[in-house]
Amino acid sequence: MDNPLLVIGIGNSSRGDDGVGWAFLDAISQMQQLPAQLEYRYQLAVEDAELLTRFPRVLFVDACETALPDGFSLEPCLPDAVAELYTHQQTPGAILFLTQELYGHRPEAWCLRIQGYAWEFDSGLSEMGKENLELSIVFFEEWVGGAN
Amino acid sequence: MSKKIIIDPVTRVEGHGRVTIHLDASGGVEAAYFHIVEFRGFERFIQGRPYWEVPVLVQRLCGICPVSHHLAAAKAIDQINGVDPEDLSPTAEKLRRLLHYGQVFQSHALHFFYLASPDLLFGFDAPPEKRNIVAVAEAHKELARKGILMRKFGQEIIKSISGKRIHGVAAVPGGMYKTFTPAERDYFLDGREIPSVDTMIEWTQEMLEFIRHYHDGNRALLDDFANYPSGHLGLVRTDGALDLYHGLLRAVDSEGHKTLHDVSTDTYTRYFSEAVEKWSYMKFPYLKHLGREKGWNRVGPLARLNVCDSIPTHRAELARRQLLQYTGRKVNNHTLYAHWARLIEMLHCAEVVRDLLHDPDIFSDDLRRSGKPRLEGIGIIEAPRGTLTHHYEVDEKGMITRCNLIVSTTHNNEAMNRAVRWVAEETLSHRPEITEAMLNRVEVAIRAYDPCLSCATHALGKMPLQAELYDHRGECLQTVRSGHG
Repeated sequence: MDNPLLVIGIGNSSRGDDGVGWAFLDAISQMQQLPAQLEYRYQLAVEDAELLTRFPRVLFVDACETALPDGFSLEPCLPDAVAELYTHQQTPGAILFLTQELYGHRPEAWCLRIQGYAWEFDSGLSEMGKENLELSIVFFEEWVGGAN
Repeated sequence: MSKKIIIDPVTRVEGHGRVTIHLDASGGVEAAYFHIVEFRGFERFIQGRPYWEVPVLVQRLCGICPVSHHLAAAKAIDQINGVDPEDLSPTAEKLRRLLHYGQVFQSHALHFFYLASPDLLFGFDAPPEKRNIVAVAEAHKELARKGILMRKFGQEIIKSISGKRIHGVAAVPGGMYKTFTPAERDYFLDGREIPSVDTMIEWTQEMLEFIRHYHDGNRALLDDFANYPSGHLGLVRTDGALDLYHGLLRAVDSEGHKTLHDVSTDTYTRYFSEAVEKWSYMKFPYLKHLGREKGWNRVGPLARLNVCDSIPTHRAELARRQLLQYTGRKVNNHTLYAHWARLIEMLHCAEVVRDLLHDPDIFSDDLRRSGKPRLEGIGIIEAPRGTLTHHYEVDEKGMITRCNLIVSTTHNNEAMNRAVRWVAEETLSHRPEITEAMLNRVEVAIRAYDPCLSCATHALGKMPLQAELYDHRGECLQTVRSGHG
């Protein structure tokens, strides 16, 4: 296994702050010797369950409309068998469930949510979205260092 | 007391739709509609943009079949650049075909394994908690694993050619952006990192066996369910064989008589018109000479098999003949046979991908051609869900002045409405209670068409659909939501 950590950025860079998951990946890709594989996604899909089998740890990064005291939050992510699975789009919990159920593999997983403010058709983040992104990057640098 | 049923949102389809069923005072179905209530206006907002941007812009119509929009637009933009389909370099055409057939393969795999299979494996009347991919994963692990890898195979084909699995860039005016390499080819042949293309063919044949046995065990239901006459439309080669990338437009009626006789895609405006209804943003295309009532057609896998004379790969052609032998009819109007037809197309796509991977032309750097610029371009392609039309006009500076899109799901609009009405009449009429399982049957009928409502309204899609029940006074008596977006 080349990288012990998989980081999946979810979002759409044409919808304002919804692109913060991708912007996060752009930023951390500049870090020296980052022991992680980075994957960009508009949405999670079933085949991501197979991808997760190759990693002991997974971080999902997505934008969030809910107000967060620090501008971002990191929470453990658990397999979720009762997630809404009616569409092409899957939740991190559902993907983890499929990975566990189909492949007998359960990576440690977290969801990093970054608060956004603007969601209209536009490229680039809002000023407050940028601030939250920077805060989350500082946090990630410490977190990934400590986790290693 | 009469009633109106609303199914909102419809689940396991792409986009947001709603079904309303109106019952009369005796409980009989008075009317049933499949409403598409999103609107996005892609045709308008690309006006004023330079024509060469279009193949990239229109991919954003959809996250499921962006390759189809990319290639249909590219074919139209080729013409504006003075290049007709037959003028492309062999390398460019073959790479586009590789991209397209990989896309259809992955799209069909997604639909069969993750959207349709819960209905087939657990039954139309299974409880809602069973009708999803989690239940499939729990009860049919091997099937689910194969489904994931088949979808992934097609996605990897797309990624290898266009750089990304979704919204990559491959086609440019007059050709392709990059060629293929032997190393990229070997990834799909050697089976080391992902299952090989030969394994894809093998697994698809296993799925065809599965669907055949499923039909054997449920024949009465499948032959009867949403069976109604219609026209069928698709592209064929000059010899009448199936072609998903380019061909002539052919339509047949419910008995197989040709109603559109292998005409050039450039002439589609002579033959097609679109009607509108006040209750839906999705239009209703029809053949002008047959009129609104008789001129509508189904499109997609079943329609394509109905219009073609053959499939130009060996195993898929054998599978097509087995289907014909099974039904004993040249034209199949049974809605739920679409799943069988979809698997035959998957087999065909895998065979085409295999053949193209062994073709040395895909490694050439003869990628682009150009000609005398024109002010109009038309690109028609067989997308996973059916015939897809992109039509653009530009001014002397190459800026888009007019755009018309007729997407696959739009062609199926009338067919889906007929299916909803059929199920409503058969399942809901004069019943003392409307159950969730009954409403799922409405969705089963819609789902067979694998509708992409985001494409059809050129709208941003959130998926599900909801059903509402109204009485004769217009009062909503029951609303059933079977998922949410």
